[in-house]
Amino acid sequence: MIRKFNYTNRIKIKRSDLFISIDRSDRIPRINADLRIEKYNLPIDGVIYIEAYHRTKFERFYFGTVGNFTIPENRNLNSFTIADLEDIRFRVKIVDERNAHGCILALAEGISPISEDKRNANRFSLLGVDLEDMGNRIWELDLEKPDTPWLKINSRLPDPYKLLRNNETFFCMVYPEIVRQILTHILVIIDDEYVLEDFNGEDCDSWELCWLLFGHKLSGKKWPHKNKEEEVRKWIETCVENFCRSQRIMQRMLGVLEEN
Amino acid sequence: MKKTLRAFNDLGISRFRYFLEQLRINGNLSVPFEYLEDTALTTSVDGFAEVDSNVIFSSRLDAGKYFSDVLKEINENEVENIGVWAWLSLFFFDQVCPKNAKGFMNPGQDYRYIPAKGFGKGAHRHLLKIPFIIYKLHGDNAKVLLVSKITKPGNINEEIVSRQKLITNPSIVSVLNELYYDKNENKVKKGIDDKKKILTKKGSLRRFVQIINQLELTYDIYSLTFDGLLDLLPEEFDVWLNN
Repeated sequence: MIRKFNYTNRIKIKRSDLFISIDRSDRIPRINADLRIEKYNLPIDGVIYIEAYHRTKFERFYFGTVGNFTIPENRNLNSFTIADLEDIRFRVKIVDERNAHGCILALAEGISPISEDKRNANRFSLLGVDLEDMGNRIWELDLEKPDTPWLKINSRLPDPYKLLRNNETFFCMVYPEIVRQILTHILVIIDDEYVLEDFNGEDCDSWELCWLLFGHKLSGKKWPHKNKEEEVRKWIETCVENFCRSQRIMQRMLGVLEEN
Repeated sequence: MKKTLRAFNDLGISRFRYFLEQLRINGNLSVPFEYLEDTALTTSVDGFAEVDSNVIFSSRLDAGKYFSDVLKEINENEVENIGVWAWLSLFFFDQVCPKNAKGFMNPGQDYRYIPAKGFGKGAHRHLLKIPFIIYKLHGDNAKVLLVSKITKPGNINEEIVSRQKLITNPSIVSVLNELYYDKNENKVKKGIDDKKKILTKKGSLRRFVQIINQLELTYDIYSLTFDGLLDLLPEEFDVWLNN
């Protein structure tokens, strides 16, 4: 069972309370933010920083204090290219700066910006996407990173992001298998046991728990205990089948075949 | 020989990759420098830069400084263009893949010459782009990361450059420099990592990374000054300050 000790009393800010977007109306994109953090009982002089990061790029912005939220004049994302913005992440920190070394009072990490169509507004990404030279393979999953599972696409493909956005065939053939592989990894391959009590009702502490809750939603049932192998297999297959149903995989694929 | 910077297109990158594959089989092949100006394989870049193959990089620091200087007039997006760095790798191929004592070339993985896209395996291992990025981020403060030869980035590159929170933090890089860079000998101090005892050796580079990860749970590391971070490090690192 995964149990985390919080010796620092650091508060976890729910992503559903953070609204970060990128304003692209000017030549240089800039960050906009709206934080709903009143309910956390943070000290009014706690300093708010929002950090934008992507690979070796990093920028940090001062947004005033808990008692005096201030949108900074200069919040341009100067260091980031248009390609970087495709997969940029944000971190929100509330820092106690009364002492010599600033202590973190509250934190939220791995926040995706609200997309233009707001479909993914404020949600933690269940799946990151990265490009990598993988020889002759098209895609694979990297399940070893601590923050989220990563779908790796072969960077040798001419426009890999287009494959993700507009290619129905890719979606229909790959995504159900992604659901199967990730749930199998969590329930069959790794040793940790996850219980529903680890879930605080809104944000998950780990990507594994997020995915299990996603499976719970798909299957309508809580995941079985890992030592019940047959039940686990059945539960995973139900999740995959219901994912295909909810995403209309068969209809979409038939549509592609008809077009061809 | 001076040339105006160009970028390989997809076909150029494929050809260069194929050359690397062939070179691993026969280390005596001639280097296809003619690709550099082949308009079927290359495109112009947005902005202007001229590179000189007579420039010798005695260290990664030299390379970082050189590219920071010569690439300053090109569009920022070109810096992320893998075709630019693949082209530069071929242009400086004698230096990024020197002949061994027997007169043969023995190239490493492709990502040393053609940047891997994304932040996956190998993205922090390009022999020319990474020194440029480190120098651009930290300048001379990053000597400890850049003092080695361009073909030997070393373990410190693996431990630090692959971690976004570490490589983007100026105080961390300055402290690393203070602890592990030997100013008199102009090299990384001996014994900063010990592979046999890598998890237990006090004051080692691997311990430094572990300690930073622990401190990060409590402190806003990014706001710490050089002195503030040194203050927080446990005594086990003091040995390097007096060494």
